[in-house]
Amino acid sequence: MTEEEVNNGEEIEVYAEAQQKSENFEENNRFLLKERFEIDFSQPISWLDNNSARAFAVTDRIDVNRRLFALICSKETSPRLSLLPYLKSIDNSALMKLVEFGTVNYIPEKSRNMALIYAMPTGGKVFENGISTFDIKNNTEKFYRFVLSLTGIIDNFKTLGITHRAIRPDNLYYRNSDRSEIVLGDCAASFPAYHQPPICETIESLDANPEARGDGGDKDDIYATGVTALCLAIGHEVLQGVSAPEMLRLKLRRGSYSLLSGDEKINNTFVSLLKGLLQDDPELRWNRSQIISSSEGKPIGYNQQAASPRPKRSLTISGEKVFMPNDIVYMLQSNIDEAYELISAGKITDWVKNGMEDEKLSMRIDSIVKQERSGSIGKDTAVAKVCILLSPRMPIKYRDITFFPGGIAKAVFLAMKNHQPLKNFIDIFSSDLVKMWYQEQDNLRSPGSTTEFRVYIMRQEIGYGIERIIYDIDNDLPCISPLFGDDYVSSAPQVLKALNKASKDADITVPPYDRILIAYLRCKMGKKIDNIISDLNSVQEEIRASAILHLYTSMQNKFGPAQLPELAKRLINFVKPVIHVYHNRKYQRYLEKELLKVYKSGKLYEIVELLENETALEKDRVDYAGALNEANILKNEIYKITNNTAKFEKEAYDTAVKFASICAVLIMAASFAYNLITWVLK
Amino acid sequence: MRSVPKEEARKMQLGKSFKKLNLLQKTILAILFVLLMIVSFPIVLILIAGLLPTITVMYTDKHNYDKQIIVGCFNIAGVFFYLFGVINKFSEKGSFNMVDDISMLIVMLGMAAVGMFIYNELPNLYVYFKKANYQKRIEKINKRLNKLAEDWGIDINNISLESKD
Repeated sequence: MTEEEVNNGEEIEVYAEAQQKSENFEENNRFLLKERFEIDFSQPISWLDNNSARAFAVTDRIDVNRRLFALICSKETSPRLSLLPYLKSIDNSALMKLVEFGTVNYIPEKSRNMALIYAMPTGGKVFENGISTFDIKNNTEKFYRFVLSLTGIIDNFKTLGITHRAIRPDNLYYRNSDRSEIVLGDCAASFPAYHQPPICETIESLDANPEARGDGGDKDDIYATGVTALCLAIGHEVLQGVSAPEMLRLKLRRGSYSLLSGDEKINNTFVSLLKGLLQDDPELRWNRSQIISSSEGKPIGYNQQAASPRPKRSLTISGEKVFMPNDIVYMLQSNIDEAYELISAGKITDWVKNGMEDEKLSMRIDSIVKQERSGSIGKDTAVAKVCILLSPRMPIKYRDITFFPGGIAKAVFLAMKNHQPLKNFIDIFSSDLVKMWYQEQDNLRSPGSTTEFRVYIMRQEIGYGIERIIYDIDNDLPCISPLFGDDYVSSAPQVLKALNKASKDADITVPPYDRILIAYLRCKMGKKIDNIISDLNSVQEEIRASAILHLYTSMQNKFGPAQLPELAKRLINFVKPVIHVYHNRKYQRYLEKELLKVYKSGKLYEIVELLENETALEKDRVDYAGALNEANILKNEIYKITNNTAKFEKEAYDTAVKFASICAVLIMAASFAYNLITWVLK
Repeated sequence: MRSVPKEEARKMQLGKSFKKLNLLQKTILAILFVLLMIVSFPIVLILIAGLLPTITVMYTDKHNYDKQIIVGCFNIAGVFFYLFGVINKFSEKGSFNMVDDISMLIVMLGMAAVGMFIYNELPNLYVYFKKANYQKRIEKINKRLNKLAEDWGIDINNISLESKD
């Protein structure tokens, strides 16, 4: 037995042992994550359920006394994968500690899901049934400490370039059973701000579809902190059950602080801070240094220049007089037909010129109207563009989708998961709305690929299209190819393992790749697979088969696992056209037989070595050329024979006649000689 | 323009040469010819009787020289058996006796018949064998082509021919 075979044997044993262990655990409704954290699915902790993730008890095998719980992320949305390494590294006493994360077998639903292991907040929830259990109403110091601890987290996040987007009353917990310290709960189990109640979101964010709110910025988190602090100051949650559109309307009409505080009694010392945190204009909203100044009793330096001046004239939309650009955009977005009429009639241009006194902006709006009239853009695009120009802070509304460009990938992802039509998204990416929105922002840079969107949409080939765009601009999204079944694939190294698992019961006639998977791999693996993508778009079946075989082989060599028997079995069916690259039928049969032996080891490179042997290919090419030449010569010969029959017959006839003539002459000569000799002898 | 065969041209040349002779010359030649006929009458008789088939072929198939050669040569071969006998019995009587001899006629005319048979059948027989040979070759080629198709997957019907001559 060779050393390699011994190693293989050991590897199989280890694999089998791990499999056995895993199966034993699963029988007990448990899953062991990273050989340390034992998730017990028979012990749900419903009060810790958060962001559509379900909580379960966890035992740390190394530190048994450590209190942990696991949040099993729902597969309806997606966890914020890009945040997880940061969250794991952050040690902030006001933030629930993320101890570990990883993909687990979620036994109750028989699927693979992302699990987030958190330190257990042993003191329970701060808000129970909407009522605060944290007495802060008359304690200014405590109140400021709370606000500063949350803004500390926000600042911490800001330095890392991330946002929390899940700051809300019901996401506050007591760290310990003495209930002295509050910690902020999970923010990564679902889309950013997807589960935020309408009260906690700014006007701009409320306008967007929940799945398309995007990561937002620190100002959004500060606003949510203000709302949470206000609820703590009041002692209960406010305006529960009010829908997002209604909340948006109310906030626009009355302003956030006025609306949320209502008639509630609030400690006077809190008012200025809360007003500062709940400023609807993000430029006027307080930042951490202003909060610190306020807590120290120092005067707050307002940036009055930043505040947008109130236009001198109003605009009447749907019978309502509106002054501020945000309000106008909201009204226009709510009444697209009327908005279109106003824009076409030049009323918006007039208002911008006379009300906002912005000649430059009015000219830009005019150019959009001209574009619409010339037919180069549609009605919806024209309204969306005018809205972007009027209030760049507001999300883009295109037909029934209102989105921030940072959140559109997640909106597409959700639509794809729910098998909803993607036409509107395709129209958005085909237009320059996203690019234009980014151009109007002061502090945001568009993703590098924004200019490529239209190209990706135009190209129908595999590896392009809308799938490429969403994975290009959003690193949080897992691969949702149907090829994986219920598995969870959140990185390129997980792809083969998941494919191998899914291949066990897969229909072998279905190719082991699809548009979504290839787009995902292109975004994760970069330009180096561009050649493979171009081969996958070939019309020749064998080139496509060879390309996917090479792709998966290189992935197995790079990421492992060492054995992929099920995928190999599926691939040998798919790569049959590669066998037909060889012309020799006997060799083809030999390869077919050999493939049946080779796949069992699960090493894809062995399949490549067998199928793409350069020496064998060269020999086959040379021999085939010889055979073809021989066939050509033979075919020519047949052609000559069948087409020249008459000529050949004539030639044969003439030859025979000549032969007969010679014979006759010889016989005559022989007769003469014989008779002469006989005569002489007589 | 029809090309004149060599033999015909030679005869025409002879005819022209004969016409160029004057009357005296022609008369002398005719007298010499008649004298020769009289002197060698027994031989002439055998030749006239024995070469009758050849003379007939020469008259009926003037331009079929192959037929004339084959029939003529066989006919002459038969005539030779008796021509030397005439030299030994060089007399009118001897030659008449020979012509009367049925077996001798059978040999002389029979040889002409053999010549005729060979002329008619040998080429056909040869063509028949030649055709059979071609057929066999085609079968062999097809067998080889089928083998090539089986081994290499070559589509025989779609092979482009290098030359079609």
